[in-house]
Amino acid sequence: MSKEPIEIYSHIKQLLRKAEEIAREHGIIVGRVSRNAPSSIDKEGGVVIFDVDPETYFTNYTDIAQSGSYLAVVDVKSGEIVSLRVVEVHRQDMLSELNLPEFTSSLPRPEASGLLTRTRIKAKPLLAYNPIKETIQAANYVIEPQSPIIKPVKIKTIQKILGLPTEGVFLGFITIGDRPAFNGYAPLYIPLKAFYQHVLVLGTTGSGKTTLLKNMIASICSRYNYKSEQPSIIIMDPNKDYVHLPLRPIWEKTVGMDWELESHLIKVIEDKISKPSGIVIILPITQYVIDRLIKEKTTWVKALRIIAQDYFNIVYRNILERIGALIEIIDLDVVDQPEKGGFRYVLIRAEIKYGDGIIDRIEIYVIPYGFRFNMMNPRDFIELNPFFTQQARDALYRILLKLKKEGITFNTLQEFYNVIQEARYIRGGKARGITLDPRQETIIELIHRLAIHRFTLENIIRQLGSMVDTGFFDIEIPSDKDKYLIEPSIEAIMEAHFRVFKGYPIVIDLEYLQENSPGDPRQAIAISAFRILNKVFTWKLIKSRMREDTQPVLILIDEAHRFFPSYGGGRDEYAEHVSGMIDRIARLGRARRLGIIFSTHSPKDVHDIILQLTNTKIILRMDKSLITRLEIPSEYRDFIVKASDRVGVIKTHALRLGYTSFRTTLPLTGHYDLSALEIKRSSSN
Amino acid sequence: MINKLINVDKIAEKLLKLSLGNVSRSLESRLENPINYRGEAEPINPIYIGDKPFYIVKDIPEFNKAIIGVDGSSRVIDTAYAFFAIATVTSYSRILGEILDHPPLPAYYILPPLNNPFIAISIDVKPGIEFKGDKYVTTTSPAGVPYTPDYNKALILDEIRTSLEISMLKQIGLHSDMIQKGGNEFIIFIDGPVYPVPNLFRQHYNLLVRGSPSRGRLDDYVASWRELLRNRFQALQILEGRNIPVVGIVKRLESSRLLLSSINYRNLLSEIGVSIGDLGNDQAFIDTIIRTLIKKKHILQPYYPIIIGPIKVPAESTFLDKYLENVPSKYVYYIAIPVNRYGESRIIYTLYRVETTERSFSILENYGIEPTIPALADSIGSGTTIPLSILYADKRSKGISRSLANILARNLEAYGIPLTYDTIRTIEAYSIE
Repeated sequence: MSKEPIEIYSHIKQLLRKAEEIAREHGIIVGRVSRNAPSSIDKEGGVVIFDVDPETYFTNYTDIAQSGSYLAVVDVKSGEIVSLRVVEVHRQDMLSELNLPEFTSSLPRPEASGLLTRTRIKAKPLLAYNPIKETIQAANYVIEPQSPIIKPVKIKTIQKILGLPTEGVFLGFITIGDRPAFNGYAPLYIPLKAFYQHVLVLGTTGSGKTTLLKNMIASICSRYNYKSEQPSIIIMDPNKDYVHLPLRPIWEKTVGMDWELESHLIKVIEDKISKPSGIVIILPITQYVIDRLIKEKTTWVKALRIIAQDYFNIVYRNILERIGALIEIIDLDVVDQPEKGGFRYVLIRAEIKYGDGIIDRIEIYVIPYGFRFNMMNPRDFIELNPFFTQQARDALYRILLKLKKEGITFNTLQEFYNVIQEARYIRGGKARGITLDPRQETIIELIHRLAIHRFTLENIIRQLGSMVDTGFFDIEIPSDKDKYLIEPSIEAIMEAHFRVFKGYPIVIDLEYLQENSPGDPRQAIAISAFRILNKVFTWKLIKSRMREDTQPVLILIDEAHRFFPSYGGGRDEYAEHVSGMIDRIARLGRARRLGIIFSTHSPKDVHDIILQLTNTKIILRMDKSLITRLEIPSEYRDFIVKASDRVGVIKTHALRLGYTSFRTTLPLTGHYDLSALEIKRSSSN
Repeated sequence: MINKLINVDKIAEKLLKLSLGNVSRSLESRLENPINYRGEAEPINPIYIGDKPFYIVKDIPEFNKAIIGVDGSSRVIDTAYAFFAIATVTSYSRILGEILDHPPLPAYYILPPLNNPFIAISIDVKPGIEFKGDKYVTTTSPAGVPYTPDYNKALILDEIRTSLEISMLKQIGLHSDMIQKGGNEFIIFIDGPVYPVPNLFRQHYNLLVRGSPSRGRLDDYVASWRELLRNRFQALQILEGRNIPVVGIVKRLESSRLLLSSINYRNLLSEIGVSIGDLGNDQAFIDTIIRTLIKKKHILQPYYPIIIGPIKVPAESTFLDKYLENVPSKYVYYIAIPVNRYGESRIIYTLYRVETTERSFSILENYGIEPTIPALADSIGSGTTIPLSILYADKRSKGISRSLANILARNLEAYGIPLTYDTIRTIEAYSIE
């Protein structure tokens, strides 16, 4: 039975009253949906127009009257809290409202009452949160006029109406433009699950990419706000950006920085997230390192001690002294059980006295890394180098397999290389003259029998030569026995990551490799990076087939364009090969909790497959020309070009709204720009 | 809203019943505009009491009290059976907000509502039809004269509108404490003269003196306007008794001859070598004065606002003292605001007149200011050539009357009352505005 008019009127009055109550409970009322402009909804979505009185406008404009601001409305008919995103703001002086140009004069002066006009704001409804049923759905109904507009103040309400995850990895705070929304009480978490579907972080140099990544690492290592298993973090670091993770951050006030805001944001989070207190460095060492540091016969224990101490001085002592801190090694242990799945590493315990009097202790595990040629199976060896052509791969595989079958071994890669090199000069499948190495004959014959083309052979030789040049193979110390460095088992490291290495982040210091490798640095880091990647993946795969659980793993690949370039530049085959690899790892990795975080400053330089595979994209400040490939909404494009440091946009399926802008805090871990640091003397000097 | 305020269906029903009877349309009375009734009467020898014939205002003053603008608006809905005049009145302050509208919008006002009629109906059938029970509809003039078919329609419009304006002034006066709480001192700007001086009094008086018996409906019109003016003076007394000055802003000067009638002003002008004949109205007169002053280099570029005044208009110079008691004298200034500050050939000034009673003049004097100060501050000081408070009240009241007229017309049509062609076209134009 339909209601009598008076009943409907009373009912609507009650609804209005109820909407006011809900509004006051969840926020501060700043306006009401306009009574003289229509609210509407159509297939493009809804529009809400509301008016704000002058007093509210002038005291709250930063929160409510910026394009992109988040507000909410309590819809009168449903009592639901609907999030709103401001899309337009209109201000008019009273003269403009009157629209009587023939009555305006040419002697204007400032006149305050002309500004006492309402502000009209247009917004798009986003999600509707029912505070009683605790449900959230897309806001697909029209909002009633007179519905109160609120600035939400409760964190739970904010999270609900914006469809924000309530737990996960801390990225920063939701922003309106550059400024944190809701006074910094809207933190942005991304569930760890989203990371297993891979992430791409983009941003120009100085945009705050590394800070963001470090803060994410700190969040994961602090075990803050997520219930699932803590993942192991592996970082491919070609620039030594991450080795300082366990050091205290230094915050410098720079020109233009809003120090009050930054301090406030740090305060909100500093009790919950802190830097890791240790680190695992997988240190790719080369023969050059040995030659530089080890001058006499020694053992690996002693050699590692020297290498570790040298590394410690370069990386930690050097930087800390420059910031006026003192670091001393309290303890240095070498664990040397490389056989039978044991480990060979150095554990350094150090104490740091910072300039402000704070004393901190950190642990650094240094695991030397290098390859041993004669311990690799042919497939693994060939997979190391992405620069082999396909034909070279096939041919070399067959050669190595054949040699293995026939029991012909080479102690080192250099040996193998020397032998195969000679084969290039032989014609007709027969050696000429005297061959010094009998294995050469076998190889020459094989080459002939397998009909390996001259160009293919040249590629093999060239690539083998560059592998030798890396100095990364068959690293030996002057010793009578046990002279070679055995490649550490990545699988064993992963399995012992929490038990032995305390779950500290694992950093592959690829810059150290580049600094100490006489060969092509591109090749050196590609070889080591891909090897480790493949090893981790294979470990995961095998364990999973054996129905054994493994911890989740996140692999951060910094400067991803160096590892996974786009096509062009004469590297197409390389690009093709690595893209195939990453495709395999990424696709299968999702099911096995193996997530990859790619970071780069240049989306056009990175392979397309990375853009396709990464379900979450985080974009910090970038040049306009680079944004077009990224398919971000137009309202963010202009913003991204002008965004401040550490401010960005995230596009992810983990957010109900799909996108949001956010700002991360100042670094929560050690983060030093060596070129910008002034040399400071410590107070004790 | 209009349906809630008046019973349109009952009106329509009655009209249709009546249409079975004798419909006699008085064609002569249909909105012809007898300027000699409605126009402003030329006063007899108002006295220019300023020291100089004009003043140039170089420093634009500030005025920090709130100004409440009051303005009424009226619209016509003409039908085959009856003439409807619909009126509205608004009082609004930029600083204080919405004071009151009548009829009211669904909004929060500072003042309590009025209960006055805002629709006047003149029926083209036999006279004497009333609409009892509808307090917002009237069929009689303020003096109780029925709006018969031969009653001047233009005057019906003016009467209903003026009646509302007077009621609004009274309401502000009676409830001024509600506006003034919190220390909000205010003054009132009313659109039009501080009190009107319609020509019909002079016409009537001339006929009376001549002993002419045949004055047509003039007796009735004079009775209505006497009543209106009595109420107006009462409203002014209430306001001025509470120390609230009232300033009239007259924008239409093309029918005014007030300044032209001041002989001593012309003498002052001739002392500075400016001699201008009778140009028919104040607007032309002042326009010519300014051009002459510019030509003779009494006024140089850049152009500033010009004041002419004050002029005292004693009660006895208006004929009103013959019909009413205690008619207050007026003090009047003319203000000319330049639209452009520079220019040789295209010099445009906007003119308006500021009027106060003697008492309001004193109240403002006690504030240390002349009546021109708030007017200048609210016009040129606010970036407009006409006081902004009046522009706003005018726009608001017109907007409300337009909407109401639109609704009434459509309702009447819906209930079967045919609209005249002109009304149909007018309503269509409202929809486009």
